[in-house]
Amino acid sequence: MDKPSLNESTDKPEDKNILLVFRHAPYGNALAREGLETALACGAMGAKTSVLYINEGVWQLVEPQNSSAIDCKNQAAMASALPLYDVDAIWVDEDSLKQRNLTSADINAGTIINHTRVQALLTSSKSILSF
Amino acid sequence: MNFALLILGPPYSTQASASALRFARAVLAGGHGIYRLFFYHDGVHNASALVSTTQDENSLPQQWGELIEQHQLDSVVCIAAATRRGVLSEQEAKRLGKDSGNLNPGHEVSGLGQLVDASINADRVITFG
Repeated sequence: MDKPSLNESTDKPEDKNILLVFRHAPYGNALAREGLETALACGAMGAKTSVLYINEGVWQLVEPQNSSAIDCKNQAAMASALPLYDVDAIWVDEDSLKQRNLTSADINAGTIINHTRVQALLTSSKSILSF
Repeated sequence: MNFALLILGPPYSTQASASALRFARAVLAGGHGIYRLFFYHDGVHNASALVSTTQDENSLPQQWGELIEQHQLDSVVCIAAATRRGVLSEQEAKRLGKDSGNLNPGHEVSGLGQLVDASINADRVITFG
């Protein structure tokens, strides 16, 4: 996966990148699902879009997850649609994984980045939507 | 500076919507602009005309309505999130075969594209949820 530069900062409209921060577990609350729908809408409209999974949000990427047991759509499967909507910048916070005893083998998408790069991502993003 | 507000919290249950309202007032009082209010997730309940409070409590939907009218703000309620939660315009209610709509005047129902547009064109987007 291409890693976009994290230090871009510009006021040109075409470079106004949107970052969606996913902070909540995949089920128990519709935030994860509706946040992901927003990311897909950003991608569908051609906006330069990144997503960051952090804190409880990292659970959204864990596979396998059997959401049919609770009559919900599979959040990890929905997340796998992101590249189809040209959202290729998918970042996962390293500390959040470690704190939950998860590794790269447990998640189905994303590039793991440390807190310094998370900070850079937050700083360089023009608009941040937090879910 | 032009702000866009993303409101995810419902009235009453959490403080998110009340904080967003105070922030919006402060933004305007400070001489800044509001590009758009976007109500999404449980925030769509802030646009319900059926919310009723006792006399000694403030009605957030009513206060949002007054602020929107007073300052002619652009307020969008996400149609997908609102429909799932039973917040319907008269037009949507008719289309779905419901007896009546319950969307407060001042709001417009539209899609997530309006949030994407606000994220691109406002100077800052602040999430309340």
